[in-house]
Amino acid sequence: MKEVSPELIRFLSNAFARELDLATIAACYDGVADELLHGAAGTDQLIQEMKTWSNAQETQRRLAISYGSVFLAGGREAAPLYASAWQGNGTLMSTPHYRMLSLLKQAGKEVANSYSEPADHLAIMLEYLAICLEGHHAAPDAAQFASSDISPWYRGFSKKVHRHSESDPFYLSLVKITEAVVEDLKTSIVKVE
Amino acid sequence: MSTRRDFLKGTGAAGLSALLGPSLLQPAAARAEQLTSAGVWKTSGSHWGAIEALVKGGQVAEVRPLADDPHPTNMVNGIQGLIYSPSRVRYPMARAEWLDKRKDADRTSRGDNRFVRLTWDEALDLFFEEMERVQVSHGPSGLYAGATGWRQTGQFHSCINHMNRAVSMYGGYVKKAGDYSTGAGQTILPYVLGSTEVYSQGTSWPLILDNAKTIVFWANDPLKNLQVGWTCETHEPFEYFDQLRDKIASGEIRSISVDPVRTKTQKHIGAEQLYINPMTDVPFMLALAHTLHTEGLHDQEFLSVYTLGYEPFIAYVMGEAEDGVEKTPEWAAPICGVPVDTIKEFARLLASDRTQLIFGWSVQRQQHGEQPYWMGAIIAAMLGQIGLPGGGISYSHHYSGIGVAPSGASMPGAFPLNLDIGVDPVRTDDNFMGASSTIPVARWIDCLMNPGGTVEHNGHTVTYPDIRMAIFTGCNPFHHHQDHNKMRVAIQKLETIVAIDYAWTATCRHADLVLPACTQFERNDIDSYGSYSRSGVIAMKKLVDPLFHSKTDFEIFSLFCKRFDREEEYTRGWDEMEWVKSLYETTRSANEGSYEMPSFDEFWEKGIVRFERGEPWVRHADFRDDPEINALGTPSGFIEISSRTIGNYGYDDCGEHPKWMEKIERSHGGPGSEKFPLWLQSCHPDQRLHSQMCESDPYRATYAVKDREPVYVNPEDAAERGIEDGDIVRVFNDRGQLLAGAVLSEDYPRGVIRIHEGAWYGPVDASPNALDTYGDPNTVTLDVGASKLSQATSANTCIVEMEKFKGEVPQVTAFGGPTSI
Amino acid sequence: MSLKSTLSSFWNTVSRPATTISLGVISLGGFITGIIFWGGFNTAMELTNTEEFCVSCHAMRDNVYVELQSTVHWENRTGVRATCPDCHVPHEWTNKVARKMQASKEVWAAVFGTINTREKFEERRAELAKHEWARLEANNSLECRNCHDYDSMDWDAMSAEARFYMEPAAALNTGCIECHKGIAHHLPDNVAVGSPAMAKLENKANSGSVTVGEDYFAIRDIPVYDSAESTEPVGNLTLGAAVEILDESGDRIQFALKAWRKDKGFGRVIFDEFGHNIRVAVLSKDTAQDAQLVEASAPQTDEATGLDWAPVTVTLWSDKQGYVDEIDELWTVAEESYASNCSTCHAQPDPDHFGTNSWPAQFNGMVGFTNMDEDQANLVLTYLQKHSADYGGSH
Repeated sequence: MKEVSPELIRFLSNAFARELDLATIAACYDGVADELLHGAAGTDQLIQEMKTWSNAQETQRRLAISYGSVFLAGGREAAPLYASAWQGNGTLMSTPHYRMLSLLKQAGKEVANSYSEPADHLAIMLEYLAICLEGHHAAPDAAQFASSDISPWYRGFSKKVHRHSESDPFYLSLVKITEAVVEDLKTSIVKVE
Repeated sequence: MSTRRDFLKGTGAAGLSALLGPSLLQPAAARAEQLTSAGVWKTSGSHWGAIEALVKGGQVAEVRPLADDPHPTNMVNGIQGLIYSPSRVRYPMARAEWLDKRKDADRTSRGDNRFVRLTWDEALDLFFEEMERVQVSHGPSGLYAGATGWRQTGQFHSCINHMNRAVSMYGGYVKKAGDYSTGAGQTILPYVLGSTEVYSQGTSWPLILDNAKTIVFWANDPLKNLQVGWTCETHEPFEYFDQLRDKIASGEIRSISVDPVRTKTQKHIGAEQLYINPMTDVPFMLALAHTLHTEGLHDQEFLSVYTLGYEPFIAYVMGEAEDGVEKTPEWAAPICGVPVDTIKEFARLLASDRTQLIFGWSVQRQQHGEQPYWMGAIIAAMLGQIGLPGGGISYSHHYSGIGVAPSGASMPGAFPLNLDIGVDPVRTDDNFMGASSTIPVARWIDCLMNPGGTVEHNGHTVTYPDIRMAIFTGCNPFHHHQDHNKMRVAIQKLETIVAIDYAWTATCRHADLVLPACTQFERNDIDSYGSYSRSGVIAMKKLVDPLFHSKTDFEIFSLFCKRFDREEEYTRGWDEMEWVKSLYETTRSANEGSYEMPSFDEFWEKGIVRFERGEPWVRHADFRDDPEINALGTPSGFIEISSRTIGNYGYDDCGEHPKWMEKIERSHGGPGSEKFPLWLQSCHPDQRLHSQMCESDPYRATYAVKDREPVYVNPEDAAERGIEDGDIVRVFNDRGQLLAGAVLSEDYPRGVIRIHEGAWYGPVDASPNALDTYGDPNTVTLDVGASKLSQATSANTCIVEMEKFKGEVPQVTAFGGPTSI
Repeated sequence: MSLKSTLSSFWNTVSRPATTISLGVISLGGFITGIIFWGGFNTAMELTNTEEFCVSCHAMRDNVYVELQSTVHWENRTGVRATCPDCHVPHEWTNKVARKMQASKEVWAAVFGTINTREKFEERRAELAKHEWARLEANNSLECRNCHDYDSMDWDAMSAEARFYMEPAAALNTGCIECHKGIAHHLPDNVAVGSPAMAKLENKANSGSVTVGEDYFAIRDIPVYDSAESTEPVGNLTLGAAVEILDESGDRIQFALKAWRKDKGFGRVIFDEFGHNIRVAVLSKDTAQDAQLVEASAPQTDEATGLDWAPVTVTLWSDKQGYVDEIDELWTVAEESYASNCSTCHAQPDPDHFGTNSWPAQFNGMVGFTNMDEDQANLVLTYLQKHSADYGGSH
């Protein structure tokens, strides 16, 4: 199994946290992401996709529409980024949110005031996963986290994103890559046993 | 192939740190662990009743009815799911296409749900820019901001008042007349009984129970509708229905439900059902009048002292009018499906002793909806018991606790809808360019499609304004207006649609600018406890802070008014609690000496102040006592069985007295029934307040069938179509198609199906005549005015066919929640 | 030497016949007597200007004095207290005397039992309150301003709500009593204390200054009588009724009301115009059917209803109070009341949205949602009817 790099996870986190800003878009186009992504499953497609971007502003707009339509707007086809939406009875800020608050606290962290989102936002979960991979003190095993806290609901989320008419290839790729990473980490537990 | 330089034009520095982004986390602050605290219970109110909620660690953990509530509704269980619904509008959003091109944007794609997030500043700037643009280029006739819905409860934060006051600070706009609940009823009854009646206090239940020998529920299901109230609902009438049940069981009172369907109320109290074909109440009542008259059972003295116009009406009944048709039971029976003998017996029963008639509202939500209400009043007049306890007629005993003797206390006012005296709007232009400044509310789609066109309405001619922009707040036209496919085309006329709501309704989906309001549970407020019973005043404590980026309407519109320098005038410089306290203190002064109210702090601490129930009261008793001094508000002051005023309007669909007029479409042998044999009844839901709470996923799961709105159908009708209980069915006609989940029930006769209104519209895509995946009945209903008199909604004039759905079922998930995998 | 013994010896001196007293003594004595009398008068008056004196009567001590003690004028943060004379007795001498002469009537009432029980006091409370309000309105709240001065108000120290109301009042130099009724004693029941504009109108109407031969409008329901002397009313004029004054006698005037009645029933309700359900009077059955008092002409048929209406001239008597020569101000008050009371749930319809005979039904359907009392409701409804589509629109 390939080692999953924390930088890759942080990149994924950043991409899901909010609409891409121009600096990030430029970095992507510039190939800065290529090395980060190299070798991870499904990333070749993403790398190719980014090379088709012809204009930064236009790309930013297009991705913002996709992000807004798929993850932020309502309607039955929406795919909110909160783990709560995909478990239990689907109401927000339920058990997964509490669990994340607790896990973050144990790691000496909380959600930044500048990013006021429920703690079970995918971007936050991915940043936490990165922290685990970076081997910070008192953080539980990254693989365990991926397996118990992301994997159970991620497939449903992923399917929804794929069905959404506004999902840009960029986001489709990101979702796929994240899924692959999560499943990789999950299988690594099995192997250890 | 562009170069790196082309790409990077104007982008600035690139690098790994940009790629990884800033951290979303910060070091944890050292403070007390909130997650394990016991939490605190806070009182609040809602349309569904008084509640208290356990707030733990900044979350609403549990909601339960307040002990004061004698008969809570289980809809309270849906409140938590409403606050935390994935359908919450979380950020200001703009339709992508509209954001780019604004008034020149392509409008055919509205509803495609392609949105982009904005900051509040961006959103409010755009909102103001558009309003200013429309007012400058088109004047007040270009802006429609009058539509109203059921809003959330709370007198200070009433969103209708906030939006209207703020927009009025800037300039004028097109307003609306009437509403979707009682459009036809509230228009006809002033001519006949001198009051709108539908929103009026009725005879107190104790007097009905003590005096009535026969109680007729006419197309009325009070136990269903009394679960909700306009302000905080008390559920006080439920005890009376239990008493009624006992009196029926003991034989003291006989109760009959005139209804094609066996209702919840009928079943609970043990009433008898009198089946009638849908939409045929008028021929039935004409035949009743015929029987009463020919058998001399009518109260001639009452008619001569208290009414006008009996002669022309009875001439019509007796076949002496133009049509020459005598309205005998033999004539009526084939139309209404009630046997001749039953008609006669029923007439004799009504006249035999004290009879209380209680009409519901859905029967007037049809073409010619004025007629059944007018006929009801005439039957009551012929019985001569109007103004007696347990006699006469009511059109409102199913609404917001009417029938409970009011305390007489003053209730809190509201945030002022109008500008303060001495404050002028920025634009004083009141030139509507020859168009009407007010339109009948149910004709707004017609108005969009025919600017400059004219319609008759209640005695005058309305000229449709050329509307360019619409603002909706706490109002969901894509729930309550008919013929959604027609709507989707009509709204292409609008350059800008703004929707302010807390949940992503179908109206939000079809809007250009969506602003997130918070729920009533995220702000402090005050409400009357009992809209009519005035049973108390209740504190509405903020449970949690506004979720995500939502704001109170007060804050939204304060910021909005800032854009044209009217924030101070809008707010009066007061903050939320100053307003709430002021409303309380004004009420307290008004009640001083009569109804004891504690200091505000003590009230807020306790959560509620209660007043004693008042004396029972009889509707129309003072008129009966002295019809001259206590004249009715009719043109003559008397009950008008025939109305010359209406006759003088010369309308072909509403004349000088009630008439039977065939409907444009009708089941059970009526026009169109060959092709579409099923009548679709879309009455008020049992498990929602209209469309509110449809988005509460866990609650909806308690009644949805395969995630879809239930459609109730007779087992034989189902069997004929190969439909089994739990099947997904397609309900359709020439206007549209929808999917619903079949529930087979003996409560429904052949030829009648029911889908509750308020089911959230979710078309499978933006194409014309797209299949609605959830089950909104207004996808297939008819959009015509009930008549030239009321121009009201005709939702219940609707026939359809139904089939088991073939092919791949499109997913309808929770409206943003987990997929059924 | 005590005052009493001084006075009695003085009196003994001046009561002796003047045979042996010189002119100088007489004139000086007269002068001194005048001073003592003057001083005595003033002293006596000053004695009656103390709280002690006022509350020496049970009616005051047990009723309004007790009520005062639960208000801010009795006990407050800064310990500044008002006693009875501070508000109820003018500081300026001539006004003081005038007030005292008026108040002697009040003392009379106490001595002779008109208000010597709580019940009797409560019955008279409204009348007593109105006297004081009228007095304070007439002098623009002079006594309040002995302590409270707009120029000394610190706007920043006030709550936002207080400032919202007080700054405009200061700009207009509005008298305090216009809004601040019931601040020291309980309000009488059923007295509408809301509108300063209405208070001004009532002031004007209460002056009772009407001229024979002129036309006036009733601003409220006014009881009517069949003669200048009779004590039992035979009905009332309703607000907005337009009359011509024919005669006057004592406190009463005789008026002529040209109006209409319906030819169904007893004709007790008198209407403003043909076919319009706007009441201007309600009469007892006997009066309505008395051809001397209600003179009717040939009826006409109203096509809108089929009812016959007869023009009538009603000739009756009423007290002089309650009339004004111009009615527009009343409609302004009504318009404001309509706008604020009828917009709690939705925007109120324009008055010309409905016709005169349609408004009662609409109003009946909605008034239950408001907190308006019967008088306010009648005012608003009449306003709406008089500015309906039949009259071409808004005020």
